[in-house]
Amino acid sequence: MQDLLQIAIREAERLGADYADVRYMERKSEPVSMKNGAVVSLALQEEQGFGIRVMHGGAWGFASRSVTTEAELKHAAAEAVAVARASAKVRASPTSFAPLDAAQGVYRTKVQKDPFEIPLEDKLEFLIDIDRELRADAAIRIAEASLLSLCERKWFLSSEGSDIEQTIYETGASIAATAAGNGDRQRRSFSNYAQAGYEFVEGLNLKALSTGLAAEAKQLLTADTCPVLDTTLILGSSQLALQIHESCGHPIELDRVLGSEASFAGTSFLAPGMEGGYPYGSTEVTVVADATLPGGLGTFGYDDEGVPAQRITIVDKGRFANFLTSRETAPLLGQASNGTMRADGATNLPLIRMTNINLNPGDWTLDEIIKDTKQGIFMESPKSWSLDDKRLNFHFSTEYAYEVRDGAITRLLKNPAYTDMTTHFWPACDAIAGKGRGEWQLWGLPSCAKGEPMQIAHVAHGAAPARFRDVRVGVGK
Amino acid sequence: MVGKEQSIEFLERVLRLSASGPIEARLTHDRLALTRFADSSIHQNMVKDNIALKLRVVIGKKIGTATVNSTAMADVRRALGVAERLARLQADDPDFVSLPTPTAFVTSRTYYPETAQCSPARRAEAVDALVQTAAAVNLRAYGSFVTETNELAVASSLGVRAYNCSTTAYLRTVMMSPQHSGTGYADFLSRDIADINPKALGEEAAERCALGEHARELSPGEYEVVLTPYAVSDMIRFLGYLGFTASSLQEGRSFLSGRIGERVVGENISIWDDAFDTATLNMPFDLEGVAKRRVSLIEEGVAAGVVYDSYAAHKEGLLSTGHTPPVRGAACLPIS
Repeated sequence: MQDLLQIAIREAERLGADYADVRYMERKSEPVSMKNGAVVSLALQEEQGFGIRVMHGGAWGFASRSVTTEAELKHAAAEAVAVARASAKVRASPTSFAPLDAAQGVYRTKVQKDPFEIPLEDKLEFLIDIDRELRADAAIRIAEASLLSLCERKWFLSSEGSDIEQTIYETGASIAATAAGNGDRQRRSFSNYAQAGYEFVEGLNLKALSTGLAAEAKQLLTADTCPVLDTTLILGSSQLALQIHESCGHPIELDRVLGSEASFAGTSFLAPGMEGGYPYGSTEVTVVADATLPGGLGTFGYDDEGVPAQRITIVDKGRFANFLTSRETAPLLGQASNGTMRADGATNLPLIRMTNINLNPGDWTLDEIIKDTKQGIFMESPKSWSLDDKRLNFHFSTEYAYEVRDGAITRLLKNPAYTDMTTHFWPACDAIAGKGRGEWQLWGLPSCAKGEPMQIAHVAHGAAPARFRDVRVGVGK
Repeated sequence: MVGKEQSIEFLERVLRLSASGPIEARLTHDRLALTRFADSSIHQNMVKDNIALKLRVVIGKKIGTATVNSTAMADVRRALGVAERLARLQADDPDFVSLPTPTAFVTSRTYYPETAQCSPARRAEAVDALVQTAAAVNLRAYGSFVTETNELAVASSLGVRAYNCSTTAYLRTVMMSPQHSGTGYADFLSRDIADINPKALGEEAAERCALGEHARELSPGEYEVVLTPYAVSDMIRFLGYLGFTASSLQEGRSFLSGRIGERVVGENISIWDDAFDTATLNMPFDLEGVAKRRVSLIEEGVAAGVVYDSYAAHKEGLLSTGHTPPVRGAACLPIS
């Protein structure tokens, strides 16, 4: 494969490119999904292709193909150079990027059970069992269950001499129960994904979870509505993972900060220079970006520029310390890339993407936080989210909530929601759990959208329940 | 381009490989060229060429699906074997009736050579026009300019034969003051690149940006709100995702569930889906090769209907309106 891909690099160099890299990828995915006992999707999706990125005259060009032949490699290289020439016509100054030592390496996800070796019959039987659990009560009108298996093999070669091969496996599952009655509909769901083999799915204990979700969905039909008030908010681990994604993960992407996504995904309230200690959160808050964490969807050996995976402190005891960077953007801060460039497949351009953005565990247990709370609302399980383009003002709703009074949970609440500003929210964090067993969890999110054409990145967030003071909750008129 | 004859001929060869039962083969060939710009400079610029084959094999009331982005017959045979095996593994789906049968569709012009042949240099010229317009009023330009050529061919053992080639040109810009104190948005989408006037779009965005230059903070409260067409179209798009689909109606998830024929919004509101309107992305048929039909969704405030793919339509003994979603399980979508 490497010999074939070198053809594109040599052709780009022959045409005057100052730099070229080529990525080839084969991706296989097997989504299996079921709704109310019927198979909705049982498919095998295979794709392959390559993309060549060149720097010519201080500007970038990129071309990709699904068909990988010598002729297509040469043609794409020429097209990438032509595109770069056009880019150079509208540039204030030439683009430069940080030097990088050539890397030769191999990375492979450690799997115990290859998800593609598990018979489909077994997977279907598994989903049928879950469906049965979800629909045991007549109040459940819609039961959904799905499994995903994915394998990517990719090669990266550059004109600087890098030669990297990576094989990544991902698995995961999603289940949901929607109950109807009492003039209302309520949904409870669970999903998680990891870079792992099928053993991850087996360890999720989905059958037992299904029974609980169905019961909760039914209970929500008769629950009181979450009141509107300014109060103490305690977020469960999965909701906090999404909160981290939206109000920490996205604003720290340096390409967003510099305006690269201004006309589509948005910008950021952060600016260059703020990485020198801007007060992002309370001293309880330490956030890391860890592309080396086993099992994370944002884990890899090398990013799609050939930069080795790293663990970076983003927020250190409340102080903002680092952006997510690339070879092009890092030098603007006088830094080397911290290795976060990833593309959705080989036929798209790499962009700065989150890796595993984790909130470090604190020294509380969730039980201690609740006992320590006089009045508040505990919310969990994402339902909807909305953020402004600077990632400042946000509104989330969750599937369920509990009222907390005088250190105890008092009642279940439906249709909970909260709204705040990022710059108020994180400084208002005064307690993070994680001391208790299993409280800090890694949540795989295989659906982070960014870029044009739209690219979907697989990322993860580790979080334990945490408490935030003085937050507006409930849905107003 | 693959072309009509070659596409259909290839799909017929694929159909002949299967002896299991009804089969549908869909070939897509997409060429996308995209120039993105930020802070008045081009920062991302690309061309992407992708071909994909999707097979649906029906055995009794079971459907197996496989997708490959290759037209090599060895890959096609392997994909077909996978689709057949996946179909056999399933239990019968009582709601599945049949793949669609042929429908007569109305064609309108969807392909413009000038769009298909747009060079990176021409896209750069358009971006430069926006950048110069922005610079004249001390603004910075951000945005993207995309041109696409999309071939879609569908053939089935039930006799469906459909081919269409379309082009799309889309220019979007956001203009900002250097201090980011104001922003202005403008975009334009057409099958024909000749309809796009970068300078006019730039002036529209710049004018809107100027309006925000001395913006005052607005306290929370109730106000009369005037939305631009851009904002209204976004709202309608999400209504499409959430409420105007047959599956959302059938499952009771739609705000129209149980309310067809009732007044649901003000009588000054009418919403419809019309794939023949050349002011939109007109298309003759959907991803199953079923002829598009004009669908009235809300008529003078009254809930009038939703859009169907063949699966959802057959469940109610109806015909598809030609709104098959890209993947099964997703809701069929109003797109025009």
